[in-house]
Amino acid sequence: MDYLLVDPFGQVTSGVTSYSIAACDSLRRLGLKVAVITRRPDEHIEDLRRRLPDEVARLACPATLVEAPETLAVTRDLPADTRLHIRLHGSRHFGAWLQDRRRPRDEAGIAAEQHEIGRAHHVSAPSLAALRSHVAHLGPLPPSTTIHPHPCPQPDPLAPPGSNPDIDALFLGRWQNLKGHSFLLELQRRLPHRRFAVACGDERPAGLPTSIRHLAATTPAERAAALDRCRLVVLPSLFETVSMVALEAWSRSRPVVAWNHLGIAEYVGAPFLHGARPWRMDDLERCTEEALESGLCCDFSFLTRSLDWDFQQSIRALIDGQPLSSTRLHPPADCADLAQVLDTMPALPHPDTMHLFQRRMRKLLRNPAAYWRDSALRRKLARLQPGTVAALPARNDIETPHGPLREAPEPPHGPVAALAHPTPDAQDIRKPGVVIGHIGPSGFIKIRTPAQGVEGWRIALLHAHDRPEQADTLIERLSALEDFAPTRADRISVISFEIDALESSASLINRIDQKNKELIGQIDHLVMLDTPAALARALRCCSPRLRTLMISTRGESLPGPDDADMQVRIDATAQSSEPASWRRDVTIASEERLPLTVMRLLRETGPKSVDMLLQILGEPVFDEALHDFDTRRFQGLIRLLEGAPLPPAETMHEFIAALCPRIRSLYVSESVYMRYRSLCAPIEAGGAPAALIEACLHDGVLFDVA
Amino acid sequence: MSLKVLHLSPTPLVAAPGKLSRALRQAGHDSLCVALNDYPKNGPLHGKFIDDVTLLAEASSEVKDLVDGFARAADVIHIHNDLPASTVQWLRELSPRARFVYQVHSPLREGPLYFERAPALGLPISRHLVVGQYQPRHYPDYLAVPNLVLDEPFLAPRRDDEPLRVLFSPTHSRTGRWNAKYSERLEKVLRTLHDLRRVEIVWPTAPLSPSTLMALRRTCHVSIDEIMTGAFHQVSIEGLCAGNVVINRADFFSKSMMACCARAPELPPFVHADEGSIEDVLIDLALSPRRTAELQAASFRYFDAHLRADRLVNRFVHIYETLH
Repeated sequence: MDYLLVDPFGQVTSGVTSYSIAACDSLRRLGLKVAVITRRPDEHIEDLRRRLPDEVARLACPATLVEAPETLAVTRDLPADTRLHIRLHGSRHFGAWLQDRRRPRDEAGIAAEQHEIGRAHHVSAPSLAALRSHVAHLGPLPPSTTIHPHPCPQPDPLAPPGSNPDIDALFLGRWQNLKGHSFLLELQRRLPHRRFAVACGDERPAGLPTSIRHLAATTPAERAAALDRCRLVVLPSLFETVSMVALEAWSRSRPVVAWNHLGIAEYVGAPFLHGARPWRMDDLERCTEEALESGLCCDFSFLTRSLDWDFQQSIRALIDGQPLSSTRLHPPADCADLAQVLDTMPALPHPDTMHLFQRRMRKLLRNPAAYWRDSALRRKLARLQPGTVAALPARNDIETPHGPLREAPEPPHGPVAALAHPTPDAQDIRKPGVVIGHIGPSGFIKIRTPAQGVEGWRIALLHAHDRPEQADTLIERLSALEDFAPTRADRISVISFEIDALESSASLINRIDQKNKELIGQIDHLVMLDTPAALARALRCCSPRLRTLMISTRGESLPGPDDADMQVRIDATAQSSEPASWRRDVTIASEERLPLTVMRLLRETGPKSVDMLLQILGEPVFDEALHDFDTRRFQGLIRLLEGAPLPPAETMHEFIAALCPRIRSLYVSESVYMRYRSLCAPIEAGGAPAALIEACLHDGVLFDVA
Repeated sequence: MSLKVLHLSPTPLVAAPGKLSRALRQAGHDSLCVALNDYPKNGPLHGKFIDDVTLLAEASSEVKDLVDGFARAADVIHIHNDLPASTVQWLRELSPRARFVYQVHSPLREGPLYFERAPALGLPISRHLVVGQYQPRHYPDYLAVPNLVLDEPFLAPRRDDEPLRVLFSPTHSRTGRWNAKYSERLEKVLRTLHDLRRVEIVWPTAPLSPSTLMALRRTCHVSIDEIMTGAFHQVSIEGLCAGNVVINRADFFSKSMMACCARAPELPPFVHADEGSIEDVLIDLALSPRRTAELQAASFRYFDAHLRADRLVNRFVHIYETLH
């Protein structure tokens, strides 16, 4: 056996169990011999600890790597020469502390876990959050601790395409404080028009409002069915080292809304995960609405395969004795310090009011085996450790030492959402927006320095001089989206135009001198309202960095895909779609959706702090080179068929067309994918990649080709 | 059949049209290269690229008559990059019998052109060409054509006892995607390696004529082009000709365009480097004279087999001969 996994829970609701199954499956697909040693339903943890050495001796050889979570110190009795890999899943002691800061720590239990960590051959964590929370609250970790992502469960079977979800937002998991169930209740209260459901156990949780449906989720099939019925998953947990629920959701191509301090937020961002600042319900509400409003791609398989490969590569490296960390995991730019987040965790507004005796009786009725097992543990620990509270009943309230609800502090870096208070530069500020120029019918076009902003997120709005109200309304509504700072009114530059409809783009460009071209080049995103094509083209030509978004309120389309990077058309008669000739082309039914659509497009096409590689063409195969891929050097990767000669060609167009049949696999970074999504979708549906490659090369994207 | 080809460009364009014109003459055709203006008088490029170029600005009447007469009789007028409206008007008034060919040397959305100029010229262009380096990605339907280096290929492999000698022509900082070739890190790395006596850096501080620069290049083992954009430039082609190891950041598509233009079955033997790897690349070369010599030989072989001007010029001749 190459690899053994130990699951000390053996419950379908346990993240460790889900992980063990997914990891086993993933490593078997890699060709490794893998087995899982699982705690039996009626087995006490102590019995598992004693059983484990015999099981390992039976299954393993000296080279076998034995992986177990740190929690419960299940590997206590394994001999010292066992090649032990401790994987941090989040200690129960940390979970207990989160739920009740006043409860005395189980120092013996923590010491036992630390001992296993200390003697392990290797320690790994699935996220930076896991690493930091452990070090801060439980004890040190070896310097050689590595970080690599969890694998994604393989969906089996996939939901049929085009199935109509009847649930907007799904909560999947144990209905308890640690999983943030009170946040979900509050969210549902704020979004009464949305269809919420909770999938947990086989009985409806006590106190669940009738406005929230309950789905059974006692088996993997039931969990999968619940996911297939929803449009997104809400993950409001107090803390997660990762969240197998999120990974399961992605395996079913469902986006996730979560607090951005959770470990899973380090894996990927929007549109797969919409991160809200911790404890800010307005953020959570907006993220949920944003995720529901966006027309998402229906297949996340490239994301899940990418995570899977990273996991496989890391384990293979571990088996080979050369552990390495994944470079893909990064906290979101606006993620606050974990210590501050946990310190400001609020008291929950909907406490479970059930008395301890009632909870125990409920447990006895629902799961007698678990009741007696845990009660025996409690009595045993009480005999061994006088004064220790061994049972871990869920606490009703989470109280902070600082009193009532407090907002999370401002994060140190990145776009910071704030209330839209205008800055005091009264002369240059027109409410809303900061006027920086006017393009008249003649003479040189001159603008002032664009409004300040974070590089990559400087936004300007161009509107017709005789329709200022259109721009005002859009800016006001964008500014009202408090969770996206670049669209604050005082950060949006405004340019008006009044030109001859017949003036050519060449004439317009010739009216912009070098200095003003450079000023225009300081804008990252230019949003153009009903702008003539010639002006759109002329401004876009001023800088290769400038990304332009054309909004057509009359439903018209620009002449060609090089007139703007993206276009949004408002056309009540059209079906919402993204045709494949443009990089991004979105049609929406009404102006009501415009602000959210604009914000979504800006967010999706802006700089990414986590820019992972996504496969859009080819069969998924293990590729070691993917691990070291640096998207700052290359933004895409093309693998050609072996032995394929260079195709002769006279033009680039011919060359790319001849190259396409020789392409074995094609990967692009996430930021490229979001910028060119309308061109990526046909490839994922089986089309040729020529149009995408041409568009990418045109815009300066570099591919590594082998 | 001998062709009469007039090359017209707004500036010398680092002698690219001039070299093509000369190569055509060497191939037995009649060709004149005219630039409307030289580079600015107070700039480093003034006077450096006009060996094969007739300047029209401030030209005497004899020169203007020469150009007029040549244009009238030309079979092909080959326009490079752009022409002002006045020059286009002059061409129309001459009513030349020539076919027009347009060739672009510069990228879109940055200087000097910013946008596609050919449609705005107002001339009946029979064939659109693009320099086969990085530019075809902006003009994917234009025929890719090579830039020429007229020198004979040369090889002086590095000996085991020789320090690595690297020629680097600095560039200044500019904005844009393809114009932004300057790398502060590269200059720091080169200075550091030079100070540590790991490599010998030949770093011209004053502008040199192309022939002098080429002579200097032949004394070196390595030519560094730019390592920022993903393209290669004339420096890389000259480096191959001089039997240098050519270092650049050219990506697969840039290199493929060179191979396509040259009808070569393989990609050019450039050594890839960027800001993150240039130090290691240079140190590896410095420590391995044998590898340096092998790469130099590969450069020489590639140029000799595929990039000789007398071979590449036939591509242009074929284009001219098949114009409609």
